[in-house]
Amino acid sequence: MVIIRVLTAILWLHAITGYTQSITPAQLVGTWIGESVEVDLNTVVPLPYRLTFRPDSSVQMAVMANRLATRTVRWQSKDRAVQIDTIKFNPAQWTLKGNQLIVNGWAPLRFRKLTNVSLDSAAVLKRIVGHTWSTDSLSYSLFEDGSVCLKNEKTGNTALHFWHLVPVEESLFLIIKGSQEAEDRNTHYPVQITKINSNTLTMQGWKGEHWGDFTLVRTGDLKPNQRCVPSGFQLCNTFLVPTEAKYMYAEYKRGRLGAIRRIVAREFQPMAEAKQSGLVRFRFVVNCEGKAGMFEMMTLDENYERCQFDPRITDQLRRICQEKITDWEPGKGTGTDKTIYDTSCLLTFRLKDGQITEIFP
Amino acid sequence: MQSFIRITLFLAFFLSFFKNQAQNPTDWLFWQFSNMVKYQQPSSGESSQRNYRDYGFQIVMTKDSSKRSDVLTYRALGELKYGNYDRAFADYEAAVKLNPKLAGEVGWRYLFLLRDYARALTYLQAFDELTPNFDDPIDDYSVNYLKGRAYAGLGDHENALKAYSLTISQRAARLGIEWVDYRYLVARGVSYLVQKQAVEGLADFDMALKNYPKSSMAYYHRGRALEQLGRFEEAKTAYRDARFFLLTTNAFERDYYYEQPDAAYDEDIDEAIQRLR
Repeated sequence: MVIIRVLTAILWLHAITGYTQSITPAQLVGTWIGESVEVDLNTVVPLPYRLTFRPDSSVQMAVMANRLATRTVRWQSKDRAVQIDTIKFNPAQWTLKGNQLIVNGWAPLRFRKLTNVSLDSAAVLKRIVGHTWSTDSLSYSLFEDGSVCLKNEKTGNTALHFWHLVPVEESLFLIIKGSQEAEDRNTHYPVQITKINSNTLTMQGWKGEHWGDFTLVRTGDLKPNQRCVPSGFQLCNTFLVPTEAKYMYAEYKRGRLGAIRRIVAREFQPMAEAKQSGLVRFRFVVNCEGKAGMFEMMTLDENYERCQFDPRITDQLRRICQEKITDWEPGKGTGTDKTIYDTSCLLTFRLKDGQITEIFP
Repeated sequence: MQSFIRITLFLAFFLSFFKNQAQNPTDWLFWQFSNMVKYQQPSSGESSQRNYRDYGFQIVMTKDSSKRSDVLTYRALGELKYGNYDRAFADYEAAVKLNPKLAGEVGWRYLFLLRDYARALTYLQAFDELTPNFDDPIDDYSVNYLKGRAYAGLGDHENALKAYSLTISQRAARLGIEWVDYRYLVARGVSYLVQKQAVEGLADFDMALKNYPKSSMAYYHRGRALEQLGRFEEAKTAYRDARFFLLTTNAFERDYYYEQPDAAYDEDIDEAIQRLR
């Protein structure tokens, strides 16, 4: 037991520290582009900021956007401990991992050192606008009105966002943000345009689960009056972390569970089958428009072991949840916060011999 | 407490990030920096993978079995709220093995959050037997009320009535009937209705409404009792009152976090009113 504890402690410390080195002032000078915020293990969200450390001990902080105010404060690094304005970090908090700067703390922030690639913004704009650019998994249709259609080639979902070219020093970044709900929220991972010709666009940044280079190929031309038409389930917060979104209560408009129970009673055809006992749990997201999507099903037997029920039961329940129970009300903040949020919801059915005995959230 | 602070801060972090409320666009980043000095260890919310891993570390490293069982219950609750029922169950079972005094809390979770009445009853009985002549509290409920709920869930209203009556009489003797939780009286009343003892049920609903006059579910079940007694005009009034309070009061009796098992819903009330037209 003692050995297990020691080994676990070593592994845990290794996991949280990683292979990193603390930083010297000379290494810090330059521009760092926000890459991601680690909000959970294996879960990151974008960090659309940049930091420019100058040798004169000033650091400029800015959002990756055009025409927004910046903030310039003093910085210093002494005994490998970084100080920004009056905020003095511990030496272990600012570390380097290759060209990645990591600020460790409750939600580690990751930045990448900018390698300038000089590009003419007017020429790039002229080349990319009005065309569809695709990787094997994602298509970007960049419209002249500032909207962009992002199509997931695997699921077929198309989402509406808004795009801008943001110059940083001599470099140019493609910034995508907003949703069908609002234009200025939820900025995506900033991507730097590194190369462009008439048919290919090479960018560097976060793609899927990695940071790196990726190339898009021009796959179509947009008509002058063409508009982005979203399709499929749309999240209002593209970077929703469902485990964090479960506290907002999405409600079923017409009488909540009472109405849900009536719909299920009307639609579900029970099966008198022994052994079909346990739980069928659906987890899904109710978006800010009150639509449900991203359904996940888990089935457990009476001893809470994963199991498979007769598909005639689970298919029915899935269909009822996805097609019949539709009158959701989006989750709101609590207290004075009246913001509408995408919300992670649960709906669970307890089965006994193929009959539903309980429905609960 | 530490866990609560972590969760609160993490929620604040998220809300601030996504709402983009900053006065200077970089305020959010500046605020992050200042908090990172205060909270230097990575932290995530209640149901996060990081929490699961960190609690797992604590479970292995903690020698004290009582503390270890507490950590298991913290982890289980996070998993339960996110619908990972298999992981929650495994942790609750391990917690009770380490510390039998947790049987009450675990029974409560199984009862209300998993609707596993048989298992809940087993744990609630085991917990009650630790101090046989005392109606132990479990969170803000009494063990006998919860046992009653488990019996009622299993369809055994005779034993449910015994358990409810025990807790109601003990509380009334100790504090006065006006200090008995109205939900206990509603629960007993509902079991009386199932047993076709509408007079006793009506008395319970009347007392429940004295203790909490805005309860929609108490009015609704009062209407059912009156209907069983053939007092249809009074039943109609009770249903209308139920509808009024359903619309005008906090809907905590329904599915707000977890549902009160006797909660009244719009459709139930509308159907009852229609029936008496």
